[in-house]
Amino acid sequence: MVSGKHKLSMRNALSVAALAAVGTLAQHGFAETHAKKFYADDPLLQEPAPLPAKGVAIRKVDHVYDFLENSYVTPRREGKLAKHSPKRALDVNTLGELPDSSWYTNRHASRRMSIADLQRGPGNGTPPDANGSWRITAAKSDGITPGFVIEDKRNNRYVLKFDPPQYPEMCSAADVIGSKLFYALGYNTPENYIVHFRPDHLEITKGVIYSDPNGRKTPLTRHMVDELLRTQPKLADGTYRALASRWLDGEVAGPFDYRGTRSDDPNDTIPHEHRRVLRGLAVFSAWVNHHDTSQINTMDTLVSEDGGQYFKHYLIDFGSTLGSRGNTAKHPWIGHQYTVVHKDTLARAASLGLFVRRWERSAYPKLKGVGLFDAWSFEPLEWKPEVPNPAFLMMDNEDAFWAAKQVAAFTDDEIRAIVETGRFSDPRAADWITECLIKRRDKIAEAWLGKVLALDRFRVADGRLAFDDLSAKYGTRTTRSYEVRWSTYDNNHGVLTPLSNASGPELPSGPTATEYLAATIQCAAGEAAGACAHPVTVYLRRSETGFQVVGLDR
Amino acid sequence: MKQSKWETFLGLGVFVLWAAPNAHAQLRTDLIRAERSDKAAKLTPWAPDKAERFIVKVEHSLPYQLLTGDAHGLSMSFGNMVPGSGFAIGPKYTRPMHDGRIVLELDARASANESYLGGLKLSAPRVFSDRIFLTFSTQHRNISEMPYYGAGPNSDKNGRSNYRLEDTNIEVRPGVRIFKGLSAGAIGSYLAVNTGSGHSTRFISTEQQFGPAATPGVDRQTNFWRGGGFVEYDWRDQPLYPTSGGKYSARYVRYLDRHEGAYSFMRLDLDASQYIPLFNGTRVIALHGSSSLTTAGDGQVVPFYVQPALGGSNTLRGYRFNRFYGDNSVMVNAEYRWFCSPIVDMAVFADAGKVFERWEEWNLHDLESNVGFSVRFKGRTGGPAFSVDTGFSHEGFQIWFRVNTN
Repeated sequence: MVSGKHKLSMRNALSVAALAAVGTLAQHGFAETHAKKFYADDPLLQEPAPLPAKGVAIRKVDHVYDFLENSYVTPRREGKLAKHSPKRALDVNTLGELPDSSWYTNRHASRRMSIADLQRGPGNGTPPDANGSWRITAAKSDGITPGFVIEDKRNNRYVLKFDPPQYPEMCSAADVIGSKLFYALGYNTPENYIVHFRPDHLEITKGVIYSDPNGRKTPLTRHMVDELLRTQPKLADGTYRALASRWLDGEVAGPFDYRGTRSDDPNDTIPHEHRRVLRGLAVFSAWVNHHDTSQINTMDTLVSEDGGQYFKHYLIDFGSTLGSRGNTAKHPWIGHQYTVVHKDTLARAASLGLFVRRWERSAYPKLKGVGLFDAWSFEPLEWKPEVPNPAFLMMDNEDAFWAAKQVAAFTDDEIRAIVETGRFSDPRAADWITECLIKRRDKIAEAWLGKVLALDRFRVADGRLAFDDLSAKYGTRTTRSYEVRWSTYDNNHGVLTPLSNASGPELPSGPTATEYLAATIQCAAGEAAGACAHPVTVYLRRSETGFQVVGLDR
Repeated sequence: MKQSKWETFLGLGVFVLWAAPNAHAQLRTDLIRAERSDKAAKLTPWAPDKAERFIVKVEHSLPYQLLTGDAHGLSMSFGNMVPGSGFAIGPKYTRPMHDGRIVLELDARASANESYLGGLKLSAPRVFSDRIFLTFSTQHRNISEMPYYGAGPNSDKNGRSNYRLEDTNIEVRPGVRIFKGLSAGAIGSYLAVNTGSGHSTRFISTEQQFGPAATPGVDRQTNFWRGGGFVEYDWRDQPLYPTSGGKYSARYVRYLDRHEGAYSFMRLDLDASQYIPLFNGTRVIALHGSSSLTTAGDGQVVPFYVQPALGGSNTLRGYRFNRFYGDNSVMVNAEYRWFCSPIVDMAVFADAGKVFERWEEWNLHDLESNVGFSVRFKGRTGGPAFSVDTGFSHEGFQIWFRVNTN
């Protein structure tokens, strides 16, 4: 029964309704404000501090479900969405760049890293301590490469993984090189080290359980460790080579999905398939032929800061990059088609195999540590991971442009420096990987920078609007002429008003009162096809020191 | 009536809730914070969706684990015991012992036509630093409908009979790995054989159709001591589904009749496979040749139930299983295989072979031949998990289904 004291009278109900109505109107008014294109803090260079996460459950991914869903559902769902109702990435700032966040940190492309920084990657100062035994605390039974979890004398924890016996150096080198490259590209990656050790360096902690391929759990014994090492090549000094991947900081919270958001992360408000950081990963993955971009190779951790915990998102396990497939060399089809193919299969069956595709004719060198990696058969626009990825399917030309310009930012010397961290014993292997990465970089630049008007780094200098033409800078096409037309921009209503007689790179001097200017840049007369069909509009905002670039539309 | 404090707060609360989220949205960061705060109020722990829960449930179910061999070493073994004996199914158990130094395998299968099989195998794959290997195995089979068409290359397709084959084999194989790919070993075995009337009512029983003169051993069976050796060189790139390399083997076994004194003989099996990769292994030409030669001393014969035979999924695929029996056989196969998708391969093949009586007839003249095509569905190990071969010969066509649970 409702007490009379708290019963709402008609009059008072009307009062509440009136206040609510005022609130609604106020909200509507703010909604108008909401619609404005630029806010005072645009372009955002860093996302606001994350809210603390509580009550987090460890997310587990079922590999079979993941494979089935992405092979059979994703192409029909995200594939159709991308085709019929594409959506621009939502995690970008008004310049089309990614603010620093728990997903991504702007690194090499925008803040040049030195060769030493590139080689250092996420860290190269804490390999497992060679002065003291490495205690095996767990046997790694997930993933496709065998290994152990070890702790060194300083109690630092690592995952110790081995190369497939027939392909020494291949997987470990790929894992290290991949971690450095993706770190430089802005992602969170683990510290990976090539290590050499003697068998007696490994000490089994009591109670370690090993799961065999049949799911049978048995205590790990010295004999089992020796059996694993028996398949590994023993080096001249009696040591074995392995990859040591340092345990990630924070509490493991499980892999992240390439679709949707995490229901227990307050900061995860943008569906992952609409994150450029994940869409653009398609281009980076294509560069290094990272075919296994499934959830299993990602990890969320809960890191502590300022008394709270928040999610940090990692890419892990790069053993499926370059010529490696983890437990074997790549098959030649990898990177060229999905595992489950429908249309092509019947045609190929009927052709008796007489129609030979380009990737089937590629020449691969037989070099220790290389596996199957080439540039000749690489087609950036056609590259595919092993299983469809929802975020990759949603990638649009702007996402790809963002990623391609980052790839193009690596110089030949920088690529070589990173490849050297794979510590190939045969220098020809490093040469081949480097050469392939350089050629694949160039192909990516040529393919994706030509999809949009590849103008970047807009700035005001000496009263002129300046920018870089990336197509010319990276030599993917000859220098082009551009026309610039000016407008004023009403930020509250989103209206562009062209300024008569205001063209050319010089900022117009007429509209002294306007807060925003917009410069529409298009190809000079005569070119209207391809990338020229889509002019770029650059927005400038007046500040105390003059106009500054605040945003752009491609 | 005076408005209560509670009502005032309620009205204000509604106002604040509706208007406040955007009241300070003059900054992008405010918008982002508002979205996050909004979500923070609606957090739920992660949980798999309904479809994923269903898949996980299936994966954890015993039937699924038995099919995939993940039930702590216990799995289902299925497929034919011998072609034509009907679909067979049964449990298989594999257990590494002594830290994997010894592997125990137990296998039992039965089919609807009253055939069954049971076996035990103990193997020590690596002894003395990988140099020595040792296998002990014992198997009992009872195949209710083994086909028999009569001896020699001119047997009649319409003369099919059937017999029951019951045998028990106890075998020891010690071996040594001489160097990478090259191994040799010895074979010691005791084989007890019994034959009887075939189970099929469609075909006449063998002993009623063929006499002991044309079909040695049809009236009396014996037990054998078997001893011999083998040598093989294997440099295939992936044994389950090779794309390059080859395997060459020779096996010599002497059969000593323990009871009748009439069935002692020696048997030499030669086998060679060569795989030629084209276009990065997406096309493979596979060539295979094999020959089984037997010779018996004076007054001795080779009993029909251990004679070399041709016809079936591993020999002449356009002919029925064990269509041709003879003292000797020679066979060649050629196959062209091409990649259709990561999980499907196709192949066309041609098989030819013959059985013959005397070693002088060891040549490639007067061969029975067939052509055919194959569809192969590759499993998680990269090899064919399931394949369908269809062979065409002048005697008609045969379809062979093969399941590989490796």
